[in-house]
Amino acid sequence: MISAKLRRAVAVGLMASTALLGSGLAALAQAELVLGVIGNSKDVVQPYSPTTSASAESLYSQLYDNLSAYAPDGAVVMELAESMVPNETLDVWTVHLRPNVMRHDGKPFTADDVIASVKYMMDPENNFILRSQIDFVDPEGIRKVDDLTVEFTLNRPFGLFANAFAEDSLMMRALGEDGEVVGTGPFTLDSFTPGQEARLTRFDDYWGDKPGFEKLRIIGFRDQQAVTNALRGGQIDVAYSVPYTDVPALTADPRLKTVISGNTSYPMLAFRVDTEPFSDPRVNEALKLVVDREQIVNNAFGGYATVGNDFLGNNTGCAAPDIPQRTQDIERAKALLAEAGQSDLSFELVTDGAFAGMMEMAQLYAQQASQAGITVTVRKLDVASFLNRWREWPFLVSFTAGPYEIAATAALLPGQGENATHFDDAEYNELAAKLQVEGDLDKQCELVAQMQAIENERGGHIVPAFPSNITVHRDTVVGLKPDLHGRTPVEYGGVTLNK
Amino acid sequence: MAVGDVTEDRGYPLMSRLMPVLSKVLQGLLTLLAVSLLIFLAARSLRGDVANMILGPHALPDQVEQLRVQLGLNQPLWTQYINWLGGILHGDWGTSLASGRPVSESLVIGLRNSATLSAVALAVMLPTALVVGVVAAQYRDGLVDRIFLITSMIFNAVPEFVTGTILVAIFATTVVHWLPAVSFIPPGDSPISYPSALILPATTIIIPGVMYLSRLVRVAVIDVMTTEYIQTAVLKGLSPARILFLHALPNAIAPIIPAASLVAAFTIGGVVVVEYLFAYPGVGSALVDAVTNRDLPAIQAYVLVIASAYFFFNLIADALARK
Amino acid sequence: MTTTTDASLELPRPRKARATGLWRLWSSAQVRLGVTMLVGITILVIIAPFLAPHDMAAPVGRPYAPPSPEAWLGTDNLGRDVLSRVMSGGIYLAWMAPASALIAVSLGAAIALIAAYYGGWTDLILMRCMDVLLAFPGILLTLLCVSIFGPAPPLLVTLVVLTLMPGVARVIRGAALPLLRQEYVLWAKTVGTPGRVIITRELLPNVSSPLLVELGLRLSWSVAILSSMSFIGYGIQPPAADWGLMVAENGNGLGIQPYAVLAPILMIVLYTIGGALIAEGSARIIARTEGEA
Repeated sequence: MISAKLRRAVAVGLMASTALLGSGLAALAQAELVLGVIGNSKDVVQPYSPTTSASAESLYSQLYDNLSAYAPDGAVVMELAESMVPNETLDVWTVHLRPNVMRHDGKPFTADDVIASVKYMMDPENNFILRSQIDFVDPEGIRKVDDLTVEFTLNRPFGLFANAFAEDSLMMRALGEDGEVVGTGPFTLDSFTPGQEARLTRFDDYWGDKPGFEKLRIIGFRDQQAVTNALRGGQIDVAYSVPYTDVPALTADPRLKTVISGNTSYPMLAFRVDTEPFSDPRVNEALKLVVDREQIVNNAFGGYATVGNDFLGNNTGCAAPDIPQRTQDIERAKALLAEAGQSDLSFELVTDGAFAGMMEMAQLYAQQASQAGITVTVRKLDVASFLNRWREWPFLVSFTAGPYEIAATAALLPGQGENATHFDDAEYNELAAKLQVEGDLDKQCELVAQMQAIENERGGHIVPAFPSNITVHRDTVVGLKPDLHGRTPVEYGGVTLNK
Repeated sequence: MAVGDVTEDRGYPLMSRLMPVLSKVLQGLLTLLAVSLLIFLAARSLRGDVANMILGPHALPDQVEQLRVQLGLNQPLWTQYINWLGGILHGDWGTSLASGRPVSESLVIGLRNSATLSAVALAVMLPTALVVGVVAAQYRDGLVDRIFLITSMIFNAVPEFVTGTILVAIFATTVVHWLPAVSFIPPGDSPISYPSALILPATTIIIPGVMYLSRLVRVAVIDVMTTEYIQTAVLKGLSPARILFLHALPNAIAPIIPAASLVAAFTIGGVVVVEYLFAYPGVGSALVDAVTNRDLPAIQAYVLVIASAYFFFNLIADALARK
Repeated sequence: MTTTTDASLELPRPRKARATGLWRLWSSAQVRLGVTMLVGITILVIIAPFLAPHDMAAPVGRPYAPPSPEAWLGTDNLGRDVLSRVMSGGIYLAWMAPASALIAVSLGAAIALIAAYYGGWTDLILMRCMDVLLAFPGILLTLLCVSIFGPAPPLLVTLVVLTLMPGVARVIRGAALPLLRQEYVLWAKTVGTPGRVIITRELLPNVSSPLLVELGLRLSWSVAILSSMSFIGYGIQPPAADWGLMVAENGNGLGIQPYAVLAPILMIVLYTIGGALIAEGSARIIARTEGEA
């Protein structure tokens, strides 16, 4: 049985390799940019996958577009939509589509595609997590006005419609005649092996800013070290991410360049505010006071970060709340712990170390906390075991991504799957509800500042640093742009290749 | 075993030669069946729910439950086991929970890559071991021999990741940049088309293998050279080269063949670490990925295949040694 | 009981074959060097907490800083002192490797001697179990078990024991089988000495030399397996300092701070070679003794 299997294996392998060798040789003739990313073998081509991964996001951003999107500076801009107009009460939104957008199969992108996409996302049968991100949409209340106009009747008033649809995961796709998933993005897909490789060709009828090179290959590696080594060895042109502490080693190579920008996604420490002893406000404050933020900035993030102040949202476009910066105060932390009867506090800090800086931050926090007599045991779990008990861990390394109005409400409102700290603060909830229906930018900022101040005081997040996003690439790649949402390595509009 | 003894008594020479091998194969199949059950149970008891893993942290309990039903994780264990084993007998290794594609697809690619790496390593290892062993035997107790013995002891002792890391430091990252530190081979392409990606991982396997086998060659050659048969040849005045190649070497190769088979088995077992180190896309690194992803069908398939190959080479080694 | 004495009166007790005394092995320079290395490393690891220049957990500078008067071997990926971490980084290996090797050799020898002495079904069943264990590459067992139960040191030791024991059993059984045909064993059997007494008094002392070879070899392998486990992330977990783990953690800095990788590698090499030297030296002495006999 095994030998038969083996023979078939060899036969299939030989056929596949001959076929691909041919296409590989043809591809050599054209300029090809190679992107290295940590591969996830669970990736699928269609954009509504249950998990997010760097490799999937790199692929999706080439194949698909959103209705609206976040610009590199954080502002909401229109993509497939030309405009989104609400009624007075914010419960009916009319979306006007950009005309002359072509799909990869050569047909125009229309209102039917939008309606089909949104209904598919919302279908409970499909089990997509992103369904909860647009739970204000009533799938039955979507109506086609004409080929380029769609009307959404919502199940409740919602002011941040454009922001919500700008979320990376809410991409639009169409179905071709044979049921194949068709996108509208700057590249078309030639071949795809989950977690290992995707080969793409520039889509010459793309509606937006076109890339300056013909071919793109996305290679999936197993870990960060492999990506770094491949970049150094010249096997890839752009690394999706590199560990912060590796940046000095990489920049020592004159052929490598970096693009540094602010970032809305970063790891943070999180503890359950509904559980003893962390529910005690004195313990809460002590846990935040033991942090040497400068050390975390320098040693976990290699200096590529700014000091955080225990609230989310560093790039809101709003001013930071008017509260003092928290600094390390071991004596005060000790006193607070003694007062709370927790002088020999001891707990486990769990992480899966899946993102750059997580493991480093956890280890440094454990060391810093030990100065105040707190025993922190860092426990690294594999991703599966970690996520399996996501809402149960009393103390963990958490992660946030996206602009404040989306990320903070997902992580801090009661009943949300992402609320690992079990934060449920009446005052905060009220402010969040107001924010969701507030259209005015200044008033939004006012609300955000108030919410951040509450997080700083009562929240279960310790945000020691806001790390930058660092993209390292070979000097043959020209034109990568800083991007607040970490898309520097995957946005190729106007990017050229001098190979 | 008992069957073998009986036939031997009745005096069928061919049968007596075959029966131990056949009974060994039968026992082997039973062993593999036991191993498959162990793998199945072990894989099922992995911490971390697959459904939760697939859906990620945002998942709500009813979504998780729905997926569990879809994946058949709610069926009784023994039903799952029978289904799995029956599937394999029909050439169906199951569907990867991670990619949603048949496990056999990635298994084929991984097997080919791993087999290529092992084959290349063995193809270089065996002749090299022979030459090194013969040379060391020729200079028995001389300086060359002593240096050889010390070097081979060191390389036999240190783990593969140490040898590999040192090779990476020398040839890929720190001293010179001649070879890639990671072995990237596009899926579907043959590793043979990427020789530079094969050199470092293959060398990491070859070095300890050569060091182990050449010691056996050395001892075998020394033993043969001291036999009366060779001594007579020397007295007859045959040239040393003729003695070495026509008489000593054939006799010296015999004892290392089973050892080489054993090394092949070790190569397959040890390849996990080497593949991990160089991110080489073979069954070893695929297994590590599958374990990390909680991809039960993939874990079961990879472990069963690696264990079978390992067992197969051990069996060959046994059969060869028996002759 | 009476029959025993009667029989012993009738049969002249044969002279025991000369076993290679363990003390003889000390005459090998290799064995002496190996033992010295292992003892040296163990002492270093034990006194490291008192001798290390820095706290091994606290950052002393920026990440991957080159050697300086402050940190002689530079800093690691978190800016911690490499020298202090290398000194403390053997603490797990220092007990786990000898423990694994000792248990594997003891259990393997016990199984082998019982199988060899009693023969028949006992032999078949015991050695068949060993074959099943041998058929399963150790690394697979490790990956599976560690992902199920987590990387607790006692589990790691158990896994190494399971990996090494079958090999030991095979070798020792091979060494014990010829002994069963020796006159003094036959004599002991004839006079009705109980099996466990023959095993412990007659067989065990006569396989003590191959046992030492095995111990040295398996110690070397234990170190290799345990540090490989740490290296692939299925062994000792950060923030603990462990040589295999340090190689993995600092691998990215190889280009700018090679000492963070090379220093732990040197320690692993010394430790494994120490065991290998003992095995090699002992094997030579035994071969020479057998040649003389």
